[in-house]
Amino acid sequence: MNVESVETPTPESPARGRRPARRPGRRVGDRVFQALTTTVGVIVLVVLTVITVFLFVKAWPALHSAGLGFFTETKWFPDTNPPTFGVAALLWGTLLSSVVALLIAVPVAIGSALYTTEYAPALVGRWVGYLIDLLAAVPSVVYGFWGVTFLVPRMVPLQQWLAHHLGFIPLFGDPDDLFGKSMFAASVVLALMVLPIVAAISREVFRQVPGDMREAALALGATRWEMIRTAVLPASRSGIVGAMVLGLGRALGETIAVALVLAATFDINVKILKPGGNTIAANVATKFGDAGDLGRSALVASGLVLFAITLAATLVARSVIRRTGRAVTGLA
Amino acid sequence: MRLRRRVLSGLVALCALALLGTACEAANPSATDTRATGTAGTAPANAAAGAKDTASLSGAGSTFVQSMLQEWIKQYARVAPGVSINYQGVGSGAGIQQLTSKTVDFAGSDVALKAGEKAATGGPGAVVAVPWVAGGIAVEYNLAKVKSLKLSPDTVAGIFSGRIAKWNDAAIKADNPGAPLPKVGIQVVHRSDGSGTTQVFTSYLKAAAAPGRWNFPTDKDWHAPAGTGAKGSDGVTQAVKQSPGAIGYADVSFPKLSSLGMVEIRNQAGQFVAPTAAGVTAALAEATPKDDGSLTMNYTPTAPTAYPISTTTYLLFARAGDPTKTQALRHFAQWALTDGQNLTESLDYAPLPPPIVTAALASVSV
Repeated sequence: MNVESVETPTPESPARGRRPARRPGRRVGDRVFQALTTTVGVIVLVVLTVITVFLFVKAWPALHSAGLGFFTETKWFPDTNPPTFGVAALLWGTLLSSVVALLIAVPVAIGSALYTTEYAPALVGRWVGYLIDLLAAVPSVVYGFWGVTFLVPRMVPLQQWLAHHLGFIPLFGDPDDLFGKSMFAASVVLALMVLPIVAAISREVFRQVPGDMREAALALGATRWEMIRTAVLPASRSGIVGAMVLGLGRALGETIAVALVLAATFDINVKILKPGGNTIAANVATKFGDAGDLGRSALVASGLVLFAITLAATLVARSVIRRTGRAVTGLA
Repeated sequence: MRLRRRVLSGLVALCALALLGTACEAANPSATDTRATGTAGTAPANAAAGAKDTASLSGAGSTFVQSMLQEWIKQYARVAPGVSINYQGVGSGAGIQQLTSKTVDFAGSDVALKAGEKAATGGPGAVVAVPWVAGGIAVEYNLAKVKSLKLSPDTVAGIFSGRIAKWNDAAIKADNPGAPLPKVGIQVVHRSDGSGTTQVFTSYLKAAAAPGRWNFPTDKDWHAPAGTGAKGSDGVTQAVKQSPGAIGYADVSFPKLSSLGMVEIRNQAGQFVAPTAAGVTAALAEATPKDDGSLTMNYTPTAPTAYPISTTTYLLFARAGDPTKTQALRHFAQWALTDGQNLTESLDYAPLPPPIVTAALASVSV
């Protein structure tokens, strides 16, 4: 329905409608193509609706049983009698790990994208780009396995160093001496998975910046850094925000890598160097196998929450893109 | 001209394929022949019960039984070539769920069906529960200098509830005079996924520790506040392996593979016993079979050789399923309970004691 209302009132459509009348072959092609695209569009909408309805129906027993406590309770024991479960700790862990992952990944991604587009010789830049893209092709279970076997043991000295020098910031407070399976370790793994997405999009966005703008900046006597700061970055701001949102989506929904790396505990804690913490997606992966009926329902309900967060993040990003887009065109 | 060449090359390719095919066919029968004669010597007469069955069986559930079952399936294929069995270790709960929704022919479960689950499968008696292999749950630890560690049930409960936080605690020292126990903290690792292993381990702690020493529910999920979680027995074992001072629990095969130390547990007779197959079988001998075929475990066995953290795992299948499949499944279960038991020890499981096997065979054939 939506699709049709967009298709019909386009200004060119009467003109397009008249000409094919003389050439029937083209009209058939047009009709077929329109029907195809409409069908595909409708199918996507139907699938999305069915999934949402399914989630709601399956989540209802858990939401009904837990009530508002679902959003405040931190423990996760849906199959005991009486059941006690809530998404609070999971939600906190999901947001915290994703935000920390973005904080690590975005500067690196943008830096690498700037290097490949602005500084590196063409050949080197292309190959650095390929290699970063390759990171996106690694299956997430491999990241998880690598994280837990290689990264976690090696995180211990780094975590101790951070705690020793930056321990006055609550975020880096008292780590466990011997145990690397922290929120921070999970965030580093997530950052690696987010990196190729943000880097690839930023690279394309930087390439789209018109050559005139660059040359204008250089002609005004700007150094290369000043050119990047005054011409490239402002023009790409909305693209970078879009890249960050896609990266955030990946980090929020990442399942198995986090499930393997995190030492799952159910508490709300800002100290990211301490072992423990859990995320919604990782909890679904670990608990699904042995969950009872209410347990499954509770997991679906937590999935619904994740769905809502991702939607909210996308909407916020859209508004940010619209605003920065306007600001840039206003500037130009 | 070009066309003719293409046809010609196509013909050549076809010939090559045909040749390969006949070669394969020629090679295959001889391979199966040798395999068949190879097992004929080892397989006794009663294994022939399922020899003529033709069925394709699918199962899902317990990961605890998975490596045993893979080996059984491999060996049983030689005994009953017409039966193909496929099993996915998705967890006991998911296995029961799939059995209830009839997407699998049988389920593997570390726990017997609860009343609600029985109702979902068609009332009591609709699903047969057959204990088919036993195993010990080891308490694994990572202390480089401590080669042998002995613990009493109260101390194990103290460690896993977080009350005993350092390795040089007086309670641990009392059980291990002279051992070089370090001054480091104890890092408890438990399962983060729901697990029959956790259920058995917490049931043991509840039964064996002095009253008031273990005040947490016995459940598939871990309730005590101490420590951190890891996914699966492999995850727990890896976390213990990586961190000096850590302690966890897993099926015996895991610490063995990772060459981690296994705690000798003090049993009711006052003996410190390691999780050997003999110790597990001795403990199982004191379990009581129930009407539905499942066993009530005794976590405080009195035999001096018994390893108390022992359990069994069950085969679950519907009595009133597809007759051909049910028949094939019965034969497979009979084989697993007899000849199959000889394969248990090599995979770090333990054979069931004879009275349990007799009871299990009876419930299979009804």
